[in-house]
Amino acid sequence: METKIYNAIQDINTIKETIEDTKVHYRGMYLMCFLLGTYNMLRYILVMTFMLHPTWMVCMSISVYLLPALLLAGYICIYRSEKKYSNKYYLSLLCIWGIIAIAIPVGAMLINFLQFFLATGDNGLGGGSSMIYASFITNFSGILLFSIFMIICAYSFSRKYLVGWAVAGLFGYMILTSSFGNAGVSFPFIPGQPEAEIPYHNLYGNVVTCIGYFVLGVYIRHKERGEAGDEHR
Amino acid sequence: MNIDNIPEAFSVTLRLKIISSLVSSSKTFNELRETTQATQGNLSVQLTKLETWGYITSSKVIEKKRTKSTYELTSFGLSQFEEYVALLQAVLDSNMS
Repeated sequence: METKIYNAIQDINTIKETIEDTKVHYRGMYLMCFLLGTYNMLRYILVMTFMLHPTWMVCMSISVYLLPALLLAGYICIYRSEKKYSNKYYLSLLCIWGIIAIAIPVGAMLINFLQFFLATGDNGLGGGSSMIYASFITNFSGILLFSIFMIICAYSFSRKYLVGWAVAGLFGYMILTSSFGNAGVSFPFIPGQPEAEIPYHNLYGNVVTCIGYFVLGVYIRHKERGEAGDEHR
Repeated sequence: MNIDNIPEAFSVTLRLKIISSLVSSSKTFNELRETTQATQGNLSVQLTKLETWGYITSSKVIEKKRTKSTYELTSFGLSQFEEYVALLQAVLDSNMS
């Protein structure tokens, strides 16, 4: 009897491990999309609030220091909750892409932090031209990451048209940057700057990295539910 | 199905792994090889046996000038698998009580 029980346990473990290895989980992927979408949206709102009310330094401090820390905490929570699934391919995907996506804002936060305390005593927000350059780099890296994630989704779901969308998204940003430069939509609400403009590429980048992640997250969630439904049939 | 009369399909770990892999969706030969970590020859032999016994079906498609075999669990295979899992559960439950 003991041998039978031992064999039964062994077989159940084999079945469980194999099913977990072959099962595809998308939960972490869409949670990451919602997390990054929320992060980008909050950051944009805080930056815009700071532009409208330059004395509200707290908005910029939250955007530069607190939000990346919360983003990192959110990512760790998602990764830990997904770690129980033993699908190594899925975990590596979440790990590699997630680390890159999180490393950029967290790295920027650390640089600002070090600048503030160690080197120049600067508040880390930069001056005019460095601010524009930093904004360009942030937007470009954000769109690039979004496009990479879309390409990963295209291969995961066998939906090759997503590759086209990813390339179009990136190409659109490049065209806007090279064709229009710093030209943009009039934004006369900034105190003392009645002729201020929000560059087209900046607006485009923020729309893609805020709304784009939410749309992609909803798409992945819908896809997962669809596949779960197929499995039950 | 009872504990003294387990079908041959479940008596070898590799066959059990193959069937478990196919529960969620169909898989190609290479995907099965990655999941089971079996050698090409051994996997091929076990797949042929399972197909002969009616647990799985295979289909071949030509993709980029190469033949790709895809394997799928039959309804008979799925019902036998469910029955086997229920049997394992019963064995463990009887030991617990």
